[in-house]
Amino acid sequence: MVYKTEGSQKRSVRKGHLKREYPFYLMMIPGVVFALIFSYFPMFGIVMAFQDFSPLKSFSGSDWVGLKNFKDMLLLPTFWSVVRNTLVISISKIILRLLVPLVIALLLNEVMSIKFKRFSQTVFFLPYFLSWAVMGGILRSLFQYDGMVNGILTFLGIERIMFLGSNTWFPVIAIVSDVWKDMGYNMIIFLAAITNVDPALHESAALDGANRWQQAWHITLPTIRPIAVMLLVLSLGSVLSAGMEQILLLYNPMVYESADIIDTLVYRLGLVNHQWSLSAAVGLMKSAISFVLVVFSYRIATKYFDYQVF
Amino acid sequence: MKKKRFGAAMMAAVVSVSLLLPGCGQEASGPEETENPSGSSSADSSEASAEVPTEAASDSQAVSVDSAGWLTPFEETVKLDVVVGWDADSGVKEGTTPETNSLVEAARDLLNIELNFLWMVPNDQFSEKFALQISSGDIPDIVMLSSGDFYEFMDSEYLRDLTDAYNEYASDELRTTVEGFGEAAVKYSSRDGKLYGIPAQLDTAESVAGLYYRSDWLDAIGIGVPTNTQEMNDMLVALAEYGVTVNGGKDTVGLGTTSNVLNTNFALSAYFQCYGAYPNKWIMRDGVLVNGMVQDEMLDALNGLKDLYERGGLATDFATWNSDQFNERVTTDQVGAAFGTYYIPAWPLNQNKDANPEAEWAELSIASIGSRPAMNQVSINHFNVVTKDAPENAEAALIKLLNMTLAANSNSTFDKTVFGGRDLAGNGASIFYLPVYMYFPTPWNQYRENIWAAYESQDPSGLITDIEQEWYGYMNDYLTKGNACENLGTAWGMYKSRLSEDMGIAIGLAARESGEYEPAYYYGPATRTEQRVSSTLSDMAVSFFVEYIMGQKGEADWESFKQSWNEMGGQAWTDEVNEQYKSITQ
Repeated sequence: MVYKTEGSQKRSVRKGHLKREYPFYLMMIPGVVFALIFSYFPMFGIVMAFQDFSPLKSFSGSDWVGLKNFKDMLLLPTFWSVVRNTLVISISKIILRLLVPLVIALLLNEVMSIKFKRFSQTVFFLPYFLSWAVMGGILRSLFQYDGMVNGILTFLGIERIMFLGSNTWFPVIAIVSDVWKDMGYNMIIFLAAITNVDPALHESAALDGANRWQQAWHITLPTIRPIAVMLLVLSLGSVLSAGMEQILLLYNPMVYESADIIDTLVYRLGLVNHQWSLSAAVGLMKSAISFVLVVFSYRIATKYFDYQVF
Repeated sequence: MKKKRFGAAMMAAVVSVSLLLPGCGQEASGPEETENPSGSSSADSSEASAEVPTEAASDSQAVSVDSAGWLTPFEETVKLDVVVGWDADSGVKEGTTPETNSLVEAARDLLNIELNFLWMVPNDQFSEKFALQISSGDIPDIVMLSSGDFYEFMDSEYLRDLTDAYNEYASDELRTTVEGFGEAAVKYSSRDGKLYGIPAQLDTAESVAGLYYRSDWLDAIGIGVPTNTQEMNDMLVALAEYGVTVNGGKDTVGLGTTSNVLNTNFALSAYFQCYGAYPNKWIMRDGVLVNGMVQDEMLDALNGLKDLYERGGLATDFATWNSDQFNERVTTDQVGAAFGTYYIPAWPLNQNKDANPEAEWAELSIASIGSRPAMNQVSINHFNVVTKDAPENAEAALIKLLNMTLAANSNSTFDKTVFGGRDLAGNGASIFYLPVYMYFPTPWNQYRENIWAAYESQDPSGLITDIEQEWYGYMNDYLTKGNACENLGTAWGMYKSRLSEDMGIAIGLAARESGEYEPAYYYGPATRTEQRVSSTLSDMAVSFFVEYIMGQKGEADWESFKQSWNEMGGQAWTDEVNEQYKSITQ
């Protein structure tokens, strides 16, 4: 539709493009097929959000119930607190996942000793490779009531804290541990972006008398801004995903109030309680909102930061 | 610009769809894990067994097939698609799989039934894999269903009527197993007088819980065995205070619990029973079934727990432990007591005994502190069914296979001659590797008597079954050598859970004999509302209880909890249960 107005001249130019670029299109095929099979085809399952679905009756045999599942969803007693928890945990994660790696990357960039820099990079990146199943166990033994952290607190003469059973502390643990685990990834991206900064800029700034702090603030940061914006845009789409695996492994009835998130609710509804339709409705709502958010944030990125993927 | 916008929308679409994906995956996957009351369905049949009925099988049934009359092969091979959840059992010849199970061979040779295994997965993956199988529309011909699935299948008219096949082919053993617990089990498995599933039942006495406590600690403290709830709470607090002085100063709790707060084992369900409160049990009050969750006795129990929490009898973080953490603490002398059903001396208390042979546990029955333990009226673990697209004769094939699983059970006294001298075990055989099976009803009283008699005369030659001999071995070992015996934890645990006079199954048997128990009624298929709300209601209740125990909620909040429980579907659920119960018992 976009191309309707284009003239024949342009069309032949495009043909030239096509000829030149066809290997790239070929390379795209597996990815596209993959997306079709595993992302687009299953989208058909969305219909169950509008049905009283039973796997035995299949889609054709299940009754249509319109928006009933969505009404039921809003009537769930914990629905709004679940949405609140999701937003709190996930937005904090998104912000910190950008800020912390950015700061670390900037600091590492200033480190003179290459060896130390390499070593720290590896140390920061390692937790990223641990699965949550492993991390869950580690965090539990660190933060349980008679765990290591409380051991240290006791040693320091501070009263022990029930980290995993407290509605105040649980989200903090969840957010911080997640940022700690995944910060290495964004850090590497930032470091790569910093390497791309033209050294000539730094040199001329130094000539003009800018100190390192000023160089970082006025040269490095603005240069890597598009990358930061891109990471932010990409993560906005997941604003309603607060980290299913992590929460599922760590939470317990003492912290449902502050830790139950949309994904864990969907999990309990669908897997534990056989409420396929209600669970699909919650999932669809989540996807629809994420869709809007991605479009919206991309617009903002294009408009204000001149950032474009396409 | 337009082009860009289109691109943005496309990208957004891709991103958001990929976000949707995990959601879809979950929705398409399995139903709730099949409940497994024995803790593990790998083939420790002694834990997953049912009692031989005291009443004789109903004689109103049509022509009963005499001893092995069912053992005639089909003229034409019956080929059945099946799926299996299994865990390798160390007691079965190594390398045996469901496909090489010699019982599969026996079914082929003796009955002309051929099993075609679509897939085999570990038990804990079964329900998920099975749900996927269902959604693909390719449903196994014979299969075991949990209560919830059974209802869904029956509701969708997906099951074949088994009445005729059962009447014609069920062996005496199968009839005894199915009907011996009274009519309820058959009624729960039927609709409109047609039998749609063969219920595999567990012994009801096995559902009775008690409080296991460190008796060596209690002796050292020098207080008596509690006779009421107040004394029980005092004991729990005292155990916590004492434990820390003997385990090297580690955190110690009086009552050990896990995050599944409303479970019976290692959790609080049985604590409530000490106060005559029965959360998530259907009990009879004034002729109607009510859910114990919203009866006012709950409040007394909650106050007891709150008091216990304040005094340090419960862990500060009592609802955060998972079962591994619980076991770990039991093993390292950090738990003074825990609620559980009969088998927990054999697991996990045995680990404590292994780590610290001086540790001694005793059981406080709920009856002894003046209340009544809950006992299931029937305990159906699963329903064996035939699905609608199965081949001809599949109903008869199912019944014959079930007959065979009972006959083949190495713990049973049933007639083994049906196998014509085949070396089943030698070739690797396990009924728990089969796609359908019945539990063998452990005749608790009889076995216990036999084994005790053998022990007193020191002559085990009269013990016929493998299981009796095995138990005898443990008992003899432990009672003659005490803590010096080999495999102390196992010998001690098996003896205490199965054979001792005052612990384990003995408590459940005594409760049934005396009639001093609260019957937990109704084991029907899940009702509509139950499917919709039960987990929401449970979550709500657990949150409320936790907050109450920790002092964040008070008595004033109880009425509003009850009200929201009822309004959120509890009342509708109760009504449905009563309706179904009436239709079943009429």
